[in-house]
Amino acid sequence: MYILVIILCKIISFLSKLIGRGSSLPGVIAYKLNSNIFSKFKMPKYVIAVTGSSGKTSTSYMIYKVLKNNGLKVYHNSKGSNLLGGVLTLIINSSNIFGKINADALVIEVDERFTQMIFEKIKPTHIVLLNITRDQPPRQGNYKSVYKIIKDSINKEATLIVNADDPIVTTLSKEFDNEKVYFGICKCKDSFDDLESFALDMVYCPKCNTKLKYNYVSFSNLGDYYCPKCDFKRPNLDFEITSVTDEITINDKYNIKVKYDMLYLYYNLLASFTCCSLFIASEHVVKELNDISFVNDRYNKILFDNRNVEIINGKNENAISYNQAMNYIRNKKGIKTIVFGFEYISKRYPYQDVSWLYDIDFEFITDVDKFICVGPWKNDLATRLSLFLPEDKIITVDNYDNLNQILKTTKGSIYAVLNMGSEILFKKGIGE
Amino acid sequence: MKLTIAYLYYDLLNLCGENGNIKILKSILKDKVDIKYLTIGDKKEFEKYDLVYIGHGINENVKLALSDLKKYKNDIKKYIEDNKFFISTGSSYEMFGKRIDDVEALNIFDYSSKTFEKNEVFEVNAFIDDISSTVVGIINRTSSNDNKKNNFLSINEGVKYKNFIGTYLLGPLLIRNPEFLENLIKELTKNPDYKLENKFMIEAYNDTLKRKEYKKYRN
Repeated sequence: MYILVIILCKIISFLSKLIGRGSSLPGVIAYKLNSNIFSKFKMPKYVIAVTGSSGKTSTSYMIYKVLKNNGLKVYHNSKGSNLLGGVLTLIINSSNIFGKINADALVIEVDERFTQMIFEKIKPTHIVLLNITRDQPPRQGNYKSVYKIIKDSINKEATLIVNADDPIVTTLSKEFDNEKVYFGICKCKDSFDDLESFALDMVYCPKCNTKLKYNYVSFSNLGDYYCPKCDFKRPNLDFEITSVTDEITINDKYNIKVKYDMLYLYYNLLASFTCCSLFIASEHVVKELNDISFVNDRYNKILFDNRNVEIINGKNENAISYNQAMNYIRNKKGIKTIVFGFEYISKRYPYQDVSWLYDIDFEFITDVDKFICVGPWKNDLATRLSLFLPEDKIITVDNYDNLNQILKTTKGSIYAVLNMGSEILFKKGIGE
Repeated sequence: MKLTIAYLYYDLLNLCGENGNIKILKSILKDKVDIKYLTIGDKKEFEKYDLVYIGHGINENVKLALSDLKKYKNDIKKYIEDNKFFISTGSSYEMFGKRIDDVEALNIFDYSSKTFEKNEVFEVNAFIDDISSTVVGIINRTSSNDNKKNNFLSINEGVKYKNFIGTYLLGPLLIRNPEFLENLIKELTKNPDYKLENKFMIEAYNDTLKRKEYKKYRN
């Protein structure tokens, strides 16, 4: 019977690819037809799951690419299909009709809220834990809920590949006797001496409730932390970015060129490097990571009226990720004009939750000529900015139609912090 | 006269941008206000404060803050009885009830709170007695309480006693509700002529009322 389900879903998968439709539909149907279907597949030797609040898509893609280009047969769930249906679609597409997956490895991006449901079915051999931060509160409740879900999902056979700089996933990993590999970043030009942001999810020791101290902070609550009272501290690093210039160096030896300096990119590269080094020689990993022309849909650079325009897609409702865009702009020299815009707060729920705007450190950006707030939430954005700026620094507009003209009245480099979907509108607005 | 605002447990109870409430007060009152950022272990001198603010946090952090706040139970009672301003938003106002789960709370008000697994989310619009306009906001909680009297909002939500306000509304409550904020500033500064002048804030409030989500989720 399950063979029929697999065949049917392979056909649906083929058809939906033809019409360019969603990549989770076959899995959703298969699961409806037979909720026991996962047990029918013979998994490959390595099942690598990548989860966390941010960085899943790029990290899992990089791991997939590196392993694949080193001769392993690998399958990977493409962008966004990280819920049960998407994962099942991946499995169906990579198996034959008898449920045998003819591959060396699956690299699976898993939504952090669905780890419990998915891990028990796919039994990962390796789990990459990137971070747990505040993110999409109406959907997720709070980071502690996510923590509990991941905690309840980890199987004892899995090797845990953990971001040691994040005290939350580190605490989580310490609840398990699994094999663990820790990665982290040294003090570098982009780090801070101490905690800066107000949006801090865990800065008290999980063992004795004393406030943690930091030798340095990468961003948010990530960094080299220790408890002044007990023995809780960042674990020893197995893989460390030991220097940052226009390239990052891992373990004093492996250099990877970086296209733009944002710490979250370093973390994703480091996580991929760490994970891949468990399967193939680091020399080969670093070569591949340098070669990957990573299609980064979060960053773009164009010209407008002989001025540089840098487009950064911030993730709404994820202040930690959004703050990375703010840090990037903050580190740039010279006069700036900044465009903020998004069409909706979330595609996933209808709530008017603007509280995340107050977890973002807009205040740190200096030398600004004008802030331009665009779209249906323009007044909420402008209100946020008005807490530290005079009103004449802030322009609000309904849409991008006349952005061309408006930008011509402003000065300096242009930074556009947009949301997925609004980039097209922005480019159209400036006549690109 | 310089006002003193105490922002308590800023590093434990600030889950959804609650620090925005302090930022707006600072941006309005400017050099007429002194903000004290205080957390666990810091000495609290309630007799010196004109407004105390505490924000929303995860249940574990509320209990942690409670263990510290208990030392000041009598000071807090006196502070509230003296008609001084106290705003506690989100889960933090559970501390002023009788119990949170099995933990004894400050016992200033007569309600008990329970935590649960799955979060509940509400879009809120409601009325309060003092002002003519609607109060808007969002509730996103993993605990609730059984308070039935002295409600802050017309939807039987929150608690208001003298100048103490406790409500599950979270985040930048003061910013989202300009009239409520204006009233608070009038009373805090004892200046009945104060007028809020932030046009963006007033327009953002009007936008909120206009959106279809608001109409769909209205209580």
